[in-house]
Amino acid sequence: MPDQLLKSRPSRWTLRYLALSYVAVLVVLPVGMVFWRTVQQGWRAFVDALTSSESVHAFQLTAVVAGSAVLINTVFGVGVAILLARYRFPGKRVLNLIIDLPVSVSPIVVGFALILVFGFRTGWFGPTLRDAGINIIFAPPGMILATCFVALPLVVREVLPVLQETGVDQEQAARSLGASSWQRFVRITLPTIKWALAYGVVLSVARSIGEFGAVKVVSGNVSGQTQTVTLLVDQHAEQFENGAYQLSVVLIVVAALCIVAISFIRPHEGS
Amino acid sequence: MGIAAQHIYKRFGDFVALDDVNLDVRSGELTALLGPSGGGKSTLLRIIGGLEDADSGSVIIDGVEATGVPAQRRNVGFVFQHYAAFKHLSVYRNVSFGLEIRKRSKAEIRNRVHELLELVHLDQFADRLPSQLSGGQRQRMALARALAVEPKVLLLDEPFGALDAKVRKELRDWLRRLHDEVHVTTVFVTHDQEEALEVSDSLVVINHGRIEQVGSPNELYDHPVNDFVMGFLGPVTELNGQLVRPHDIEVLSTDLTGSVQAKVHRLVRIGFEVRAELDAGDSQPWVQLTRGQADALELETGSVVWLRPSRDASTLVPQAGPPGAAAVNRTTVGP
Amino acid sequence: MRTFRVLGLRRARKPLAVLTVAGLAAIGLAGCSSSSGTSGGSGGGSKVAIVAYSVPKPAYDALQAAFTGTAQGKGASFSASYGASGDQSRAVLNGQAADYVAFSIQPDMTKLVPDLVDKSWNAGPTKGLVSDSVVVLAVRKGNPKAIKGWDDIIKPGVKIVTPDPGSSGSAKWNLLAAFAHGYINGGADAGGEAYLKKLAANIVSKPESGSKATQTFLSGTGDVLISYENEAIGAKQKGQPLDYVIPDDSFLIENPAAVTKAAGQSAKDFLAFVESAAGQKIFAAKGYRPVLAGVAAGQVAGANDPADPFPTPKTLTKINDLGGWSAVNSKYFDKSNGIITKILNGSG
Repeated sequence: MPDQLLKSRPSRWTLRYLALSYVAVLVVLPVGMVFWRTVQQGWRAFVDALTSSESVHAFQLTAVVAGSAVLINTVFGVGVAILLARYRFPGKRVLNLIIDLPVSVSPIVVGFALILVFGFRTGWFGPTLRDAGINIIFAPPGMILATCFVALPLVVREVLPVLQETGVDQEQAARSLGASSWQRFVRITLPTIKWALAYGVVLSVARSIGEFGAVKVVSGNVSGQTQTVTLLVDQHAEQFENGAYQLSVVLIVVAALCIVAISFIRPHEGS
Repeated sequence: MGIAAQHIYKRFGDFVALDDVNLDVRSGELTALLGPSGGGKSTLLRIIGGLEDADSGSVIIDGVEATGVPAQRRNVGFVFQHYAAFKHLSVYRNVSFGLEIRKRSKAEIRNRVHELLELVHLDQFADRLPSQLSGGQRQRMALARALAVEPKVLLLDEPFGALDAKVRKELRDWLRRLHDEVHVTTVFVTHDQEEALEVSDSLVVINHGRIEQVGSPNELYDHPVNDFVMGFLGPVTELNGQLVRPHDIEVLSTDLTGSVQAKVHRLVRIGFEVRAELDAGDSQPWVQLTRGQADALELETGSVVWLRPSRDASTLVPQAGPPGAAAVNRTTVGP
Repeated sequence: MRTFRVLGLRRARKPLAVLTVAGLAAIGLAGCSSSSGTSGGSGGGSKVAIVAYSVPKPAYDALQAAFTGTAQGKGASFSASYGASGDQSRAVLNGQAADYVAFSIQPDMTKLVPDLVDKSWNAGPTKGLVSDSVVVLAVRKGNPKAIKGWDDIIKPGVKIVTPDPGSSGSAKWNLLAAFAHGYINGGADAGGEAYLKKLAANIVSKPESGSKATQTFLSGTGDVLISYENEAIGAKQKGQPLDYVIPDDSFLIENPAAVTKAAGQSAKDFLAFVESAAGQKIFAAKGYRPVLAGVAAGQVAGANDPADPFPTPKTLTKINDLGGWSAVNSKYFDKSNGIITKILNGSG
C-alpha cells in the first residue's frame, strides 16, 4: 500500500512540494534574508563589521573557546568511547546515559549549573578557585567548560558505534603481536575510528562555534573580553547596531564549510 | 617445555567456564582442544595467550612462568576465528606488524615477510588490503602474521570456523603440512571432531569447564573413557545395554555366541554406505555397513539377523552423565 | 595540551584514570587560559567594568566617550556587559567583575547590598537614581489601531508584547503602570487586578528583556509594545519604524546605578559624571528624563515633539505611591502569591 501511494503522481508532487516549501520557509528564507541585508548594506559595512576591534576580539575568543572545547571533547570523547566500548565497570550504564544529557538539557540550565559549581561567591569550588587566583565563571575557562558540556556527546556518539562494530579482535591481535596499549591505540584504534572521529570533530566545531545560551550565562558578556561572535551578534541585533547581519553571514559560511567537510567525510565512514 | 596450565579456574558471573583445569602440551606438537561451544576451550586458549586472566591457577610457557605476564610480552602467536585482519593495512604491513613493533631493521622485515608470504602462498597479494582477499586467504595472512614474530607457541581459536566446507578442508590439510614444516608448538580450538581427529597429534576433549580426556586421536576414538567423549568423537548406537560404534557391530545370518536377534526396520543407502536400522526388542540399534556387506547378507526390510559387537570394538556401559552430555549424545548418535 | 592528550590516551586502559585525566585536562586548560581572562573585581585606578541592563547601552556608550574627554576621566578605560536587568544583577552576585552597576529596577540593586554595594548607595543627591522615564505604548508607525491610552489596548484583538517580569526589570515597570491604571480609575487593588487580567489576555509574547521585546515587536509581532519612553525614542533615533503614545496616566520609571565596593576612583568619578548636569544632558539626548531638576533637555531627536520631548502625563504614579519596592515586590511580584504574578501565570 505505501508503495502504491508513493508511486501515484499527485502524492509524489505533493510530497515534493511540501518538503521543498518546508525547507524554504525554515532555512532558505531566513538565511537568504541575512545575506540579502548584508549585501544591501554593502561591502564597506561588511568590512567595517568584521574589522571592528570588538569583532576581531570576538572572533579570536570564539576560536580559543571553540578550539579548546573541541580539543578537550576530542580527547575526552575518544577516551569515554573506548571506555564504554571496551570495558565493563560499575556505573557504565549511568555514564552512557549521562553522555546524552547535554542534548536534552537546555544550555541555559547548563550555564546556571556551572555557576552553581564554580561561581565565585556561592559555588562549591568558586571561593577555593578564587583564592588560588583562577577565574572560571565570567572568564574564558567557564565559557570553554560550558561549550564542552553542550558539545560533549558529539565525538562519543560518532566514535562509540564504530568501536562497538569493529570489536576487540584487531586490538587483541595487535596485543598478541607485542603492541603496547599506546601502540595499539595509535596503530590500530585510531586508524579504525579516524573518519568517525573527524566527523565528530567537525560536528563539535560547528556546535561549539554556534553555542549561545550556556556561554551567555557564564561569560558575563563583556564586550572585548568575554564576548564571542554569537554574543556579539545578539548585542548588535538587540541594540539595532550595525554588524549583526555581517557577523551572521560569517557564522553561516563557517557552518556551511562544516557541512561541506562532513559531506566529504561521510562516504568514508563505515568503509 | 611446551605449555603447562595448572589448576586453572575461571568464572564469568555465575557461570563456571573452567573448573580446575590441568593441561600439558608437549613441545612441537599440534594439539587440538575439542568440545562443544560454551565448554570452556576458547577461554582456556585465551588464558594461555594472556587475552584473558584466570581467576586462579598458573600458565607456564616454554618453561617460563607466564601467569600475570601481559599478552604483548608472552611472545605467543594468536589466530582468531574471524581473522582479525588489520583492515587499514596492506597484507605486507599486516604481516610486518609484529616485526615493526619489535623495531627490526627494514631489510630484515622485508626478507622475513616475503619468506612468510611465500610460505602461505600470498606473495603476489602483498600490496592488497585484507578486504580484497577471500576468507581463506585472510586466514593464511593471519597465520603468517602470527608466525612472523617467531612465537614460542601458536594459538588458533576456531581458525577455520568462518570458512566454507571446501576451503576449510584445504586449509586443514595445509595447516598440517605447515606444522610439519615449522614445528612450532601449536594449540587449536575446534568444535569439529573430524578436523580435530584429522589434524592433531594430540587431542584434548573439554566439556563443562573440565577436561574429559587427553590422548592421541586414535586412543580417544577407540578407547573413550566416557559416553560423552565417545559420542563427541563419532557415531554411537546402543546394543544390548552397551554403547558401541555402529561400524563395530557384526551382522550375522545365524545366532552365534553373544549375539542378539534383530529385525531390519529400515535400510538407507548413502553412496557406498548402507545404514540398517533394526529392532532388537529392548533397543533400536543402527549399523553401518558397506554395500558389499549388505549385499552379501541379502539384507532387506523385514529380514531377521543377529547382532554382536565385533571382536576389537570398544564398548561402554552408559552412565547417567550430566544432562548436557546426554544431549550431545543424542544429537551425534545415529539418524 | 599535548601532555594531557598523551596522558589521557596512554591510560585509556583504566576507566577512572581516563575520566580523571580528561577532567584534569579540562580544568588545567581552564586554569592556563584564565590568565588571559578578565582581571576580575578590578579596583584598578583607570579601569571601569560596567555591568548594566541592556536598554541604556547607547547612553552609556555616549557617556563613556564624554567622560574620557573630561579631566577626571582622562585615561579611564571601560569594559561593559549588557543584558536583562535581573540576569545582570545575578551575574554580579555570582562573581562577575563589576565596578559600576546600573539596573532597571531598585530590587536588582538591593540584592547586591550590603555585600557588594555599600548601604549608602542611595544616600546621594539623586538618591542613587541616574535616569527617569515613563511607561509608554509603542505602536506601529502611523498608529493603525488608533491607540491613545490604556483602555485601547485591552480591546479584543489587540496583540501586546511586553517582557517577562521574571528576568526583565522593564516588565515590572510596564505591568505596574498597567495595574496602576486600574488602581487609580476603578478602586485600588481590585480595579488594578481587573484591568491587568484583561491586559494579560491580550499578551502574545513575553521576551526576556526590554530590548528583546523591542526587537520582537519590530520584527512584526503584536500591535502594541509596552515600553519605556526612552526605549521608544532610542529606537526611533536608530530609524526603526515605530511611534509611541504617552498615556494620560503613566508610571514613573526610576533606574538606579551605583559603584561596587571593589570600584576604583575612576568608577566613582564616572558615577559622579553620570549624575552631573553634563551626564544627565547625555541621558536626555538618548530619551531619558533627567533625575536632576533644572537640566534642560534641549532638542531630543526621536521624541514625539523634539522641542518638548518629555511632557508630563496628567497622572504619574510613583513606586512610593504603592509603598516602595520591597512592598511592591512581595505584594505584586512574589513568585507564588504575588497579585500580578498570579494574573500573568493564569493567562499562561
